[in-house]
Amino acid sequence: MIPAEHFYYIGAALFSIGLAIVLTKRNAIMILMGVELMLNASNINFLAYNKAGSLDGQFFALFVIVVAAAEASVALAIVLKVYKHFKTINLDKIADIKD
Amino acid sequence: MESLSDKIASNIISLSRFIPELVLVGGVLVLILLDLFKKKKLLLPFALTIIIFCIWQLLRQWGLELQLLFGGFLKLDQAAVAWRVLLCLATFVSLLISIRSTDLRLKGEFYTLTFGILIGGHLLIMSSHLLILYLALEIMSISAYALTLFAFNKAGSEAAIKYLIFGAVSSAIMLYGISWIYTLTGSLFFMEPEFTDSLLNAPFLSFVIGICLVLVGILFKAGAVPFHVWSPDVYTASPTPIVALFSTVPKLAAIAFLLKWLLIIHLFGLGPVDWIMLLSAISMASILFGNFSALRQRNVKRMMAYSSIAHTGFLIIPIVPLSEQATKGFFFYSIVYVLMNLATFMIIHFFERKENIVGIKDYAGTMKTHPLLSVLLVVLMISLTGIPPTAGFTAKLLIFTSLWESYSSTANPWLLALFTFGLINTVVALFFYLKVPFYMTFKPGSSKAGAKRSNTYCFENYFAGLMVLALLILFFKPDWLLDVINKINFAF
Repeated sequence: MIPAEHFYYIGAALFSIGLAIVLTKRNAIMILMGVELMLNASNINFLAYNKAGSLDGQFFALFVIVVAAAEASVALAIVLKVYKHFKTINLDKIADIKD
Repeated sequence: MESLSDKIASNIISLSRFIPELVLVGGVLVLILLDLFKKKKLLLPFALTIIIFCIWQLLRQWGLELQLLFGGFLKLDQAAVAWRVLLCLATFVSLLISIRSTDLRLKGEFYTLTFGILIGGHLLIMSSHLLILYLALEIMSISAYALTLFAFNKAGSEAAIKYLIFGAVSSAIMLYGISWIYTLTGSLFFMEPEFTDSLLNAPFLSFVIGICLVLVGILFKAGAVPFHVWSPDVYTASPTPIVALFSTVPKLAAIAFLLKWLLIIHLFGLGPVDWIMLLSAISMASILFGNFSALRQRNVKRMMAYSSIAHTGFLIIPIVPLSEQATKGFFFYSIVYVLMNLATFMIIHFFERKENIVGIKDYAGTMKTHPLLSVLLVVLMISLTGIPPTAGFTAKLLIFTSLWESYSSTANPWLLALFTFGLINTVVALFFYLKVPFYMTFKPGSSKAGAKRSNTYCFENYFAGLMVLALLILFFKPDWLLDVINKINFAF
């Protein structure tokens, strides 16, 4: 049986990859994909802890999946609006508000 | 193992304590229906009625003993009731501000999303389970992303995507922190003594990482430095009623939760990390950054964004000493903050809609054209700075007194630093807040602004006037409010 620590390592790796994508990519959709990876990293942690029997983490993971879907739908709607106004979703080019 | 019927019975009892939130949720459904059947004129009166009804239901819970709802997911105490009444009132006034913007007030989604933020705030105040913490923050965030777009222009979409990306990343970071804490403690009920016990036994590094990651999410919602980057753009580009809502409801809910969270992670002072030091530093950074950035702003709403970052710093001051007296000062400061911020945004919205004024310089000469509102705005700016004779001064006096008392008893140098730093920065705040009254009074206005005199019977005169009156009364008679606050048990 694979010990739980291995899953924590996978979770940490996934989280780091997600954060790296968020920090380096300039495309809004790519950043949202990075965020999804970060969310799933926590899901793996929740599930790995619950291998023994308790169910709290499993339910938490279910809620996270639902919330992530809701967030993604709002996010994509906003990205569409941005594309309509700016004709690009490169975040470096979206900088109109000046003080 | 309790039987299923026991569980159902206890859930039904919990539901009867959950009526204020049920009222809000039911109200959202009816609002959607009203929007669907094109009864657009009814939306605003109905939304206001729901909030009044919700406040009435909350007042019926006043003085209730502490109890756990839904098997410990929510914790209902007197402080939670008081906070929720404050959040309801703030939302009520934000909706009142929207009377002047017809485009906003006739959109059904505006109310749905506003109520979403309010419900999220209620849940966050009551939460005693990490899942509720996450869900409440997400309800508030997702509604807020959509609300940011409601100007439906280029700037609005830019602000929305910036807010969205910072918000999504910070909530993902917070969720990862929650998963660490869960694996450390094996429990999601963070109010239980077992949770504290297992945190005490947790390895140092994992404990610090987990707690800090959760703090990121909370501080992001509160808009504290260094997680404030979204707020200037969002405040500039969103419609003013929505900005008024953002500057009060999510911020106060997050800081009220931060107090609860600090009590837990403080571990009765036995923990390995001095969180008081960290939060003092964050508070000082917020005050410093907010005040000095506000100095060079030209747009009033952007200036108010930095001002609210500075006020976040001031709101963190009374939670740092971790004493009941300070918590009462914190609640008093929150009430005063809500009053002055909402009244300011109401007047800013009036000038923005009526005279198309957005820049600070454009306020030149308004003292002649709109004397009453200008005088009210001057009083509000004095109150935001914290000078007598306004309640802004009383509130600052209360929080600094409790901070000084805490320093006298603990001799923590960080508290002294925070104390002196906060006092000095109040002087800095004077320079940008009084810029608006300066332009209003001493600069001659352009000829077109002076063409017509203002209508004395606009509703802003009355509501903003009432709120300013409240601020003045609270300076001369703070006892009236303090007596009420002192009766609330802030659970220490």
